[in-house]
Amino acid sequence: MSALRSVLAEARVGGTAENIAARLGLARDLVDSMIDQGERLGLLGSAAAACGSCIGAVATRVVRPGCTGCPFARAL
Amino acid sequence: MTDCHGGGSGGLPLDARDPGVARSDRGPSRAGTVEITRRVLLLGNPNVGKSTLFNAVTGSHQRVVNAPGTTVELEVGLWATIEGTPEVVDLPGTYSLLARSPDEQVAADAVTGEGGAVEGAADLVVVVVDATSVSRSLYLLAQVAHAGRPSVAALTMVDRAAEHGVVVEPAALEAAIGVPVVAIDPRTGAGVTALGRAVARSLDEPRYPRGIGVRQPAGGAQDLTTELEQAEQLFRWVENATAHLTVPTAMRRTRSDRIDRVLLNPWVGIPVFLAVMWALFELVTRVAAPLMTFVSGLVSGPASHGVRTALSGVGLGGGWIESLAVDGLLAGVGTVLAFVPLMAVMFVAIGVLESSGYLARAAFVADKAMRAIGLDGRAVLPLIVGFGCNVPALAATRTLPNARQRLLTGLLVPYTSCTARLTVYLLMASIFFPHDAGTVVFAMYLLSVLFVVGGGLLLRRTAFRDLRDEPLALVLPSYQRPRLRPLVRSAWVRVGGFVTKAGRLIVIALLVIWVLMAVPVRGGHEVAQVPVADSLYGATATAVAPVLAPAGLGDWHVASALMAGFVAKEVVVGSFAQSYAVTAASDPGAGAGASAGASASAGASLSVELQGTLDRTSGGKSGAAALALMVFVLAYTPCLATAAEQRRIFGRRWATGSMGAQLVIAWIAAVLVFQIGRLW
Repeated sequence: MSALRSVLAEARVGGTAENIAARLGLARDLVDSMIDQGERLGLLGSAAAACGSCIGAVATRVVRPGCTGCPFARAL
Repeated sequence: MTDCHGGGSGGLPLDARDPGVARSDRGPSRAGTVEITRRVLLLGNPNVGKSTLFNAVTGSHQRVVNAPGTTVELEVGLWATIEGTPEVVDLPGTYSLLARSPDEQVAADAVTGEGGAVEGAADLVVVVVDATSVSRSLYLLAQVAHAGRPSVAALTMVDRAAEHGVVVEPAALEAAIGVPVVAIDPRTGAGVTALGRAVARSLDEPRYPRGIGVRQPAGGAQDLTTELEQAEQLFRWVENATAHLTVPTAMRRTRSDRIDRVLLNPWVGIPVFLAVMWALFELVTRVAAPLMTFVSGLVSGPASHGVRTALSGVGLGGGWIESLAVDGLLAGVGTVLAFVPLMAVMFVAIGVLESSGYLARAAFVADKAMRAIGLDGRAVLPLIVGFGCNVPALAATRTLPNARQRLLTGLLVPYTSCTARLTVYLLMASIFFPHDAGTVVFAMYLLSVLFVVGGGLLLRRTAFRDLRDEPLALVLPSYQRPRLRPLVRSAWVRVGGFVTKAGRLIVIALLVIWVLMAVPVRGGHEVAQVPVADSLYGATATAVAPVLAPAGLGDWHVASALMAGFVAKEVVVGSFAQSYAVTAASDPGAGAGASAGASASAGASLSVELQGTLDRTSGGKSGAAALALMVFVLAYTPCLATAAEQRRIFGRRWATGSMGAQLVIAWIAAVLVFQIGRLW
């Protein structure tokens, strides 16, 4: 499994960036970057964002790849 | 993915690889008087010193433009030390080319050459690499290579990284990634000349990072699996490129960390934050105010006298031409120039807060309060500055990272009660509520806060539903000593933008008002020698007055003063005094108004006149009408300069909409206050 997939898997089960970096032996900023990219792809969502970040709930021109195909998503 | 860089071939179209061909396709553009043949983009994560680098390489050869079709500001300049003076574009900071805000989209579009953010393709991208966060910066560089753009890495914060025990050798990094890496300190200028040489070489012989294939044009959005695979490959490249770096397992505690332990503690951080904001407010209201008065005095005194003398010398004195030149044109230019010291002070102050690293901490401390109205902590700065003056407050919205947040904050700023409005509150409160004047004025400030909070909540649920409620994710930059030269240079460019763009609108609007006041509609007066009541302006005020009747304000004096208030709230009181003095002069039997000529009793006569007017228009409920007037003054367009600045920053559509909404809200609020108030 690639480092990115490992980081995303750890993040999905609640790992913090600091813990993930220590567990996988990766640089902290690399883990931050991977988590950020995972959020941008729509593979991760922050707890604070919740439903407010759903593309179906808001009008935004930035459509995340992870939302493609979701019935709630609508490309504007 | 197609083949890797280095071989000079691949899937990328020729025009993006060959600067000469690329430029001949789109033709040369112009910046100032220099013909532009090549373009360099500055790209990097937020807070890595990108803008400081931009100032260092462009000097005074720079201007601020809006990315086409957006309210995202880009700074464009010329790299003066490189032969052919290529154009340099300072892009908004971003962590990725997969955008999640309009600002990031502009940066991504500029790199990929899509979306029309920047006309045509770039010849080179200078990626600013933060040595304290190399992996994160290199991922962005990898995305640039993936988009088919050649690059040069400008390595910053090397000293800060060393404090953390991370040693980044430019030569070793260059060997690992395959593009030139130059260590720089944009604040001192160290390494900037070497960077210029590397950029010049790369413009002639573009270089691409080793081992990164060019993304094939997909003809639309790529699916998630492809995106994920590409991200995996780029991260793998980053891991390999940084494998030689020694990163300590435990980060050392730096000076910035020690300061943050104090300043980010709520018990200390919030008082310090309030003290800093108070100092900023004082700077706007007390330090800049005398400078504004000085400039205004210079224009209305020696400059006006000079123009009058010059016109008299050529036989044009005393008539409408002199009035147009002095009361129209010069007054307009004077209004613009009076704002220059205020804007300059504000831009330098914001620059100090930003470059010192404190602004990020202020945003962190204020985040919780701002989140209540759906904004992040950085919105606190413009909203607080707005209580001093709305014009620099709008300029301060540039510290917000997202164009939509800037717009939302910019729409709320006019509801912060600036000090100019205080003159109206004090006049009305002292006349109509002499025993509770302080309480009434305080209530107006409270209402101002309610307008901001209510407006924010309403806009978030309507026109700004797309603003996602994301947590404030902010990399706190190290504390640094601000450098005077880049601060002054940046303030100079921004003040220039205000004078040329917003200033033009202010002068035109004041000329229109002069025409309205100079044209007589009755009484047989000469042009520019007409009392307000007999002018086109007075006739317009008379026509507008019935609209204000439901608020208990249906009188031409009131309408005239409120119309004058569009120019600036400072002139509302003067307008009242002027219109009543005119009435008294034309009608000697008009009671107390006849004494208006005597300065000692002018204030008393104005209060009597105002009381008489509002008693008449409100059916004896002058207190309720006075409150309605104050609420109207609080809510409608603060001044012409604010409207012009909104137009400059957010465009005509939003500025016009904002002015219209302010008028409607002001009218509704005033009517409500009067209709409820008259019940008591």
